[in-house]
Amino acid sequence: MNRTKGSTAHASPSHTRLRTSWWLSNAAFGFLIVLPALMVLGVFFVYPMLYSSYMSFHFFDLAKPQQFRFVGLENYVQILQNEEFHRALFNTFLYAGLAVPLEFVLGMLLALALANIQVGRSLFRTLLIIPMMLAPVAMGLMWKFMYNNEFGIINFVLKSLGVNSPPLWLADPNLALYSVIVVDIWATTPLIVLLMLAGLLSIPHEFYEAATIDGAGILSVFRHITLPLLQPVILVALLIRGMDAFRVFDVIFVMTKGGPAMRSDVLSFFAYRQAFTHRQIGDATATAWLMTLMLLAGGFLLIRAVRRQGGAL
Amino acid sequence: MKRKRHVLLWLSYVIVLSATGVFLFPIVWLVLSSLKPPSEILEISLPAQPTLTNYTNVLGTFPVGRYLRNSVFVALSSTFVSLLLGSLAAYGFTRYRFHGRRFLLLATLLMRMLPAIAIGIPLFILFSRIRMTNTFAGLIIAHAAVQLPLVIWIMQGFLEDIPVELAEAGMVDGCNRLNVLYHILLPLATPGLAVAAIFAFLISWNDFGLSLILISTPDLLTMPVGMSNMNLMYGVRWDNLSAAAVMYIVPTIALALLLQRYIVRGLTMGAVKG
Repeated sequence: MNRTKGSTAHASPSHTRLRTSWWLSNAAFGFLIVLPALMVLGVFFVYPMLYSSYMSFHFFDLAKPQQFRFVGLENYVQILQNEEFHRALFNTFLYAGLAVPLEFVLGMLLALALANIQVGRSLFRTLLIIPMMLAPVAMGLMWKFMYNNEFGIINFVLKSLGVNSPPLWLADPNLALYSVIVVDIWATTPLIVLLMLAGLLSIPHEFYEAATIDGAGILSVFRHITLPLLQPVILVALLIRGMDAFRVFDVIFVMTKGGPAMRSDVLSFFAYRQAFTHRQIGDATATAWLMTLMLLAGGFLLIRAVRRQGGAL
Repeated sequence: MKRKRHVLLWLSYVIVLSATGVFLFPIVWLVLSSLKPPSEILEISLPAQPTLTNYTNVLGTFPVGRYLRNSVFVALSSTFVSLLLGSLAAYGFTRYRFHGRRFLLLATLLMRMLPAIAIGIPLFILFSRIRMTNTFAGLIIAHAAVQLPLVIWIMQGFLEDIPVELAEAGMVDGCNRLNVLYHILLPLATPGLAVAAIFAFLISWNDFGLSLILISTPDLLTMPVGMSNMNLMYGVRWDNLSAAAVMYIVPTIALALLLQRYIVRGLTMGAVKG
């Protein structure tokens, strides 16, 4: 944990003190080379986001663009009263609230097991990298194949174990969202494992030795030494995973299209439909901004927590 | 005590082995399925007569070859743009102090939190006005904009670790400030460039949302959208789809196996370095 590095202009040892040009100060040079990236981000990221908030206060039907007019907060009011939005919002929180904690528990368990073994650790780590790097679209299709009731391997196994009518997974409205959550857990638990493992391996051995000499049991070592020392890693992992789960779109699109009966709808997909099915850009941008504000609020709280721990974000 | 540790070690191996099996099974199953002739694909079995027909079929009936080429082109181009601009910006952010620096850094971090859909909808509207929807240029620059904040953060972490004396020595020897970056800092930060390149490439290669919104011309589709269309249009033909999916994930798996050292480093950088 290096709290001092790069924190303030004067204390920082890492900025260049020599000035070699008489016409361009170091500060101006620094800004100048940051500028190209800022311009791309400004034109293709910040400006679209601002323009999107402008559109969110207007009636904007892609089919009738000539009726474009200012409506104030009407889009937001409409969205907040829309029952489909409520369901999407609920499902999004359910998705993130169920997937992320389960990934943490499984990931932590697996990381502890990996930290405990010596032989083959790096091989297993390499193999675990694969699922989490795959494109969500590929994972979605892969699992759709396995979930299929007639020829999917999951129900084949269940049937041969004697389950007469195994669940329909994606076709069951009560189950579809959970079936997608399973895919999320499968895909991203390895990320948690890697983060936790790196954290675990960076804890100095002396801590454990001292505790063992003091007669502490495994569980109490975990609670009083491992967990507190891992806290910064846990917060960063929570930040990364929480954001990703909240924005989920690809797997839902590929696996369920929000169905059956829109029971697996999520916010990103709701916004997408407002824009490209109903062609209501005003409603779509209002939804996207509501999502963005929720993400920024959550992100802000977590970043503050990380910084309080002395993390580098 | 010693026996307890022994049991724990065995338990660890059991957990690790079974978990690895669970995590790899869907991929193995996909590859096995893609090797089955169409008559076998809906049966639960190992391929009785492994064949590559699905691959030749899917390449013949669908423009999968073109989707793949498009994906490679878009991913490499956007990665090039974001690495070029991102490493310059990271150099500026780490080595020079200027007004608004901390604010700009925080802003780039916040950009990483936005959902693809929030940026995709306004980009679609703006791009359609200047005829940039359905162009590679539009998709490449959109991907580059998403990659940039990540590249800046990764490169900044690596550049900060290089002692400032090295840069100063270079300047005493007559390098100008840009030469210091290209002749001294970047060579030392090659692992950083590798990490940034891998993750930037994956952002573009795996992107579905932006590609779906910005590209609809069949000739210009990238692999994820092309595959998702195959899934919808002709009923689900798993013989075709499994072969296409394997072709799509093979580069990713190769990347994971060949460059795993860099990937682990990139993933754990922000989290563990603290």
